[in-house]
Amino acid sequence: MWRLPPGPRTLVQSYQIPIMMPHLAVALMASLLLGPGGPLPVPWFNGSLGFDVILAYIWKELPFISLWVLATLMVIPRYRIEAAHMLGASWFRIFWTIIVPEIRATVAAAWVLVFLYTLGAFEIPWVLGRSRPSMISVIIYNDVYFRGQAMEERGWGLLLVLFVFASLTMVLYFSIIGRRTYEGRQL
Amino acid sequence: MKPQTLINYLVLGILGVVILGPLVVLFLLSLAQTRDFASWMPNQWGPVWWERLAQQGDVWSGFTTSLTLALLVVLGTALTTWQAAKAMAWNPPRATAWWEAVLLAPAIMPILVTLFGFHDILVKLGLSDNTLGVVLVLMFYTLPYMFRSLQAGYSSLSPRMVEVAHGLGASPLRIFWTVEFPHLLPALVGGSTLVFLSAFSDYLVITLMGGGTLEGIASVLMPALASSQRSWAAVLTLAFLGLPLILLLGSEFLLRRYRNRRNLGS
Repeated sequence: MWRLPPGPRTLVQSYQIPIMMPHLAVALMASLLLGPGGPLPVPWFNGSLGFDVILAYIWKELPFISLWVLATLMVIPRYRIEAAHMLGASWFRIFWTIIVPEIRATVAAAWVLVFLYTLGAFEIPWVLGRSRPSMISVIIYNDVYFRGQAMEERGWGLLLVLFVFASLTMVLYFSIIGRRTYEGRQL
Repeated sequence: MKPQTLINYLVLGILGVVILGPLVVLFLLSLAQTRDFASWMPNQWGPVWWERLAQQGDVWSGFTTSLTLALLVVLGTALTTWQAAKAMAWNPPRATAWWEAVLLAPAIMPILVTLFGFHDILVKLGLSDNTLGVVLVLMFYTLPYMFRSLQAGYSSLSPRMVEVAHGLGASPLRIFWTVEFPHLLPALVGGSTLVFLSAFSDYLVITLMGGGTLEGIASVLMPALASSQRSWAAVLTLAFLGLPLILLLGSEFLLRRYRNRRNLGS
């Protein structure tokens, strides 16, 4: 998309549609397409490994990460790539020595953010709900609301674990973001 | 065509199939008038399920509830974050990174942590099971999107412009309306879009905090999940995507028109 001329680039804007799609609608779509009788009736999609949940999240988050990386790519000066090309660098070398260092921090930050979001996400795993064991958010929800007093305490305990884990991951996220800002200032 | 350009187009084509393909299949499903139980492909085509959507009252009532809640949340987040964003952009406090981390945390923290924490507090305050409680919780976890957008907007506006207007005798209201607001409008629309999308599509907060008193559009979708009427589920999914899409394209159009009329450029 970064290298596309303006016409096709406008067309590719439609790839942002999954960002606007609510999680519940994505879950419904995944159950229609990947569930029994759907157009993709591959057995392991409907098994207990949670592939349907994974595929639904990949579909939902792919444009989000792409847009974030694209925003970083847009600020790389074209002349650096052209100069490397004129000096005889291969396509792979240009990618590895110019593009990767520029997008590394963005990809890392996006990865942490999507990881954290998916870790605590509820709607898609709850709706698709075939994976065993269930995702932590579904276990917490069921423990607190549906499984009685003893399990409710386990639910609150798991919630605390999720909170601590998410807080530590957030520290990682902000340290990546902070370092990126610092590198930016140096440039 | 160069081999590399060909590879670029090939990758984009594959991405297009992966991203847009499921939507095309959903559209085909939504036009299925009759189909065999074992097959997903329709035997007969027709817009019967779309006609049902137009007649279904609970869908429109759910849509109105979600729309009202989302607009209230957009308004609430804009009003509460405006001054904070301005202060962080123009007069950043000490340990700015930590303040930003605190202000952005609600969007990153898993929703269940926020929600369960809020639930007990709102019950004690008598704010559970009503619209105000739902709006407050939705505001809490969408607030960072608005804050970040307005902060970026204020960062690109020099405080000196406000000082000049003040020096020339403009009132605070006039300064806001003629200097700050036109400049911040794209940031405001960007932040509002993110807040709107999150609040409009919410299911968990409305269900738990609303205590059954509120039924948003997501509550209309839930029965479709359990039903065997795939075409109806496909219609609802596409409608769920289409309604915010129309609203957002409309706001983008109005923004462009406003900027053109005031000669603010794109």
